[in-house]
Amino acid sequence: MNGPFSLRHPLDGAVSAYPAVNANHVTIYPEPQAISVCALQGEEAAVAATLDALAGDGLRRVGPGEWLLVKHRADSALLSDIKAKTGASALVTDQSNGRVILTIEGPDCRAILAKIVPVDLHPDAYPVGHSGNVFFAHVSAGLARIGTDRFEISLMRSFALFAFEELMEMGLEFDLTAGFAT
Amino acid sequence: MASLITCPHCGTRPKEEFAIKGDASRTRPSPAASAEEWQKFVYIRDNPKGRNIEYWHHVLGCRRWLVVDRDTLTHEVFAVTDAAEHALGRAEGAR
Repeated sequence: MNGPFSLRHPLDGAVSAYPAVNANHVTIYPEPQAISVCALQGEEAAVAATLDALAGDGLRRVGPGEWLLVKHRADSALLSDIKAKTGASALVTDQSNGRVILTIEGPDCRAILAKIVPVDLHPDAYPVGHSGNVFFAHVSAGLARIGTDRFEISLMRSFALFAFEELMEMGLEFDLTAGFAT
Repeated sequence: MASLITCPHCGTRPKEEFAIKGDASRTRPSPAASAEEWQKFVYIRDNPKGRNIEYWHHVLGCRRWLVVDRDTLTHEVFAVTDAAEHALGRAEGAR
């Protein structure tokens, strides 16, 4: 328990240091970046345009005028960039240490998620690029489809181990494996 | 109870994502109102059978307050609007 809080990843010890990688695999990003942005009333469209240009495919929708910017590998300039470009039109908070970012991919990832998430994940209903907060193993999690057979999940730090263990249990029948990104 | 609610921001979601606050048709009395009026507003609840409007909080989704127009008898959901829009509409109607 020594050292800064952020140095200890919540899923440390939950996966092997040398994991097997099957077709269905969960990748945990050890040092991700998550930035919460809330636009002030009336500034939603302008802030959305700024974030689109800055974050590109890392922009996750939370609610009206609220986003989470997710980068799988931290980009040290991003936070100050966003703060500078949104100025007084939005509230920007670094959530990197409060969030656990992982991706699940493979031919059966939709079948695995269907056991945890009560939302229609058919490509017509939840297309690539779609994102939002969903009911995930009884807690709230950000779910984004980043590929046909690839989803990104952002969990709150304190729920992360619980939700991760649920996910792995649901993946047992599909030989789901998990490991940290190298 | 209606088990699927179509959130205007998130799409069709199960009722487990929401917390229900109750009747959305009541208006808050003025601070100077009588004790009886406040007693009625804070503690007395109707148990309507049929169509009524309620506040629902999308706790596990967009975290917005919604106004759900639904029937407690048939479980039919007629409309779901953001509470901010609902309040705006009500303010305009009162004018």
